[in-house]
Amino acid sequence: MRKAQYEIFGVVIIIAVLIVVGIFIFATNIKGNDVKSSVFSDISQDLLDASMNSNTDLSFTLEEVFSNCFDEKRNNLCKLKWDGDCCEYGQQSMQNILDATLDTWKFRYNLLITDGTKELEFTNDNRCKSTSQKSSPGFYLIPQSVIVAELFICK
Amino acid sequence: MKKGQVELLENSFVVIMIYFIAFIMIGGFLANEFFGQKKMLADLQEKEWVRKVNLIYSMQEFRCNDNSIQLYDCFDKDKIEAFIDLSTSDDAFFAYYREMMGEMVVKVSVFDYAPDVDDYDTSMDYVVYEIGNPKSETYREIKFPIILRDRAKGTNHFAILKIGAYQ
Repeated sequence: MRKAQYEIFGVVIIIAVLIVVGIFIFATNIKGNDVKSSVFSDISQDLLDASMNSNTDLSFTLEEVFSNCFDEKRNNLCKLKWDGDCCEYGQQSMQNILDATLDTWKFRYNLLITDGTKELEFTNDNRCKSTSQKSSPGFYLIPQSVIVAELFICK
Repeated sequence: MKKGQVELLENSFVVIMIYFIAFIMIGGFLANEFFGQKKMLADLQEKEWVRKVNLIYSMQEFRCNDNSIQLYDCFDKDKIEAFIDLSTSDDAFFAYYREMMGEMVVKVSVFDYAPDVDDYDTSMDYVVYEIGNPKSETYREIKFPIILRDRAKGTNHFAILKIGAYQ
């Protein structure tokens, strides 16, 4: 091997060593230091629990309002104290809650309340319907009628 | 160009290259250290803020209990009212919580979501604790949906718990 080739070989080794050391230093310094703010993670669940368990001014809880809504025979029970049926009452109430909370707090959300045949959906961003970019799911089961409420807050 | 000059030129090029790479690496390392420290400080402040928020959120003094079991995301209206009364009337009580909670803001307001509500009833808006200056740049708050239980009436209200803390 000629002298010039030795020199080039030496330079390549030096550069390679420097690159390896550099990568090592960066790799040890760039760590996932993100603080997992547990306080944020339960908001969707809290929202469903708090809203569904709260009493409306119709002597039902909101859970019972939705339970009535999904039952044709009981949907008109809300008309005894209000102008519309239970579905209208539940939809408007839930929309008011979402407007005052997630919408005001600049969260994108998708809430689906369904018993498998009928669906009530609330969203402020249609892109939030897809499975990607979703986080913090909240679930609420209304056992009497097997109604499931599923709230996703999107990133 | 003579052979010696060519070799000198080659060697100079190699030395410049090594210095150049070393310069970039040292610069990158220093920048990384600088931003890493800033990030670490921000993370510590974030953790401290989260700790304060969690402290309030889990305080037995405000929560609903059912046969000694603490109910999830439920706050007791009577306990909150009692806390406010005591903290205004009892100096020792206030001093105890002042020391424990420090500079914070805790507010609860009931939200009436009924479709035909025009005027919101503010009789159930509570300033539970307020020490410090909310206009401070380090002030940061978070809001949680909660149940506010009225044990006397046996009703649950949808409410917003606001916790503000200073980082």
